[in-house]
Amino acid sequence: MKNTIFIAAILSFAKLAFADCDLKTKVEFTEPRIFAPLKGSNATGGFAKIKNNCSEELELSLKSAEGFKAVETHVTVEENGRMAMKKIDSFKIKSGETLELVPGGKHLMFFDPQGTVNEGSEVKLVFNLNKKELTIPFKVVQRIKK
Amino acid sequence: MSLSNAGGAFRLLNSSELNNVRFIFLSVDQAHDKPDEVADYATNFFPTFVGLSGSKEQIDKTISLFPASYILEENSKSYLGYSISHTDRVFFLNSKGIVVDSVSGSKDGADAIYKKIKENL
Repeated sequence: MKNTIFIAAILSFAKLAFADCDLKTKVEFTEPRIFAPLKGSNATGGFAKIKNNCSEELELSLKSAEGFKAVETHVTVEENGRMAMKKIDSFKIKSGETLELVPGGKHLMFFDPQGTVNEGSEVKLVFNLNKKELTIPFKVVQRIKK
Repeated sequence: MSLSNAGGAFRLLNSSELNNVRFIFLSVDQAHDKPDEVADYATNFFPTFVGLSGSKEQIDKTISLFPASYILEENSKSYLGYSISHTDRVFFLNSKGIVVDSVSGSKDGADAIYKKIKENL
C-alpha cells in the first residue's frame, strides 16, 4: 500500500511540473507557414521553427489542420540512394532546443484541402504537446518564387 | 525539391537557351498521380515543364532506361497508406537521348542544374 501511494505521489508531481509549463508562452513558433497547394496535387507541406522553452522534453504530434482532410508529421529519409518522405508518429524536442521543419527534412504534410486555400490566409493547426493541445495559425505562402 | 530546383535553374536561362532544353518530370506514383494531374503539377514550376505518368508497366519500362529505381512501401498508419522511395537524380540527356550526366535533385540545388544545362547545351 505504501508503494502504491508513493508511485501515485510521484506521478502527481510529474503532472504538476508539466502543468507549470505554459505552452502558449514557452513554446515559440517562428515563421509558421504552409505552402499554398499547387494545381495537380492534393498534398502540400508546412514548416516552422519550434523552440521548447519548457523544462522538459516535448513530444509533438498533429491532431488536425483546419480545412484539410488529414495532416501528418513526416521525415525525409535516404536509403540505398533512394529518397522518401515517411510518416512518423511525433517529433521530440528536448528542453531548450529548437525543432526546424524545412523542405527536404522534417516537415508537416497536409492532404486533401476541403476548399480553396489562398495565399495570405491562415490555417489553424492543432498540435498535441505532451498530450496537451495547442492551436497555432500557419500562414499560407507561395511555394514557388517567380 | 527536384522540380523546385529545376524551375529555379530554368528561370536563369535566356530565351535562346530555353529553346534548346526540355525538362521532363516522371511521377512513379501511378496509383495516385494521374497523367493530366502530373502535367498540370509540373507546369507550376516552369511553364514548359512536361509532367508524365502512366501505367505501372509504362513507368517501369521508362525507369529501366535510367540508372534509377523506386520502391513502394505500404504504411497502413499513413493517410495515403504507402510511401515511395525513389532515386533522387536529375538526368541530363543529349540530343540523341543518351544520359550524359546527373545531379541530385534535392541536394545539389538550382545552381548545379543550371550549370549542367549550360555545360551540355
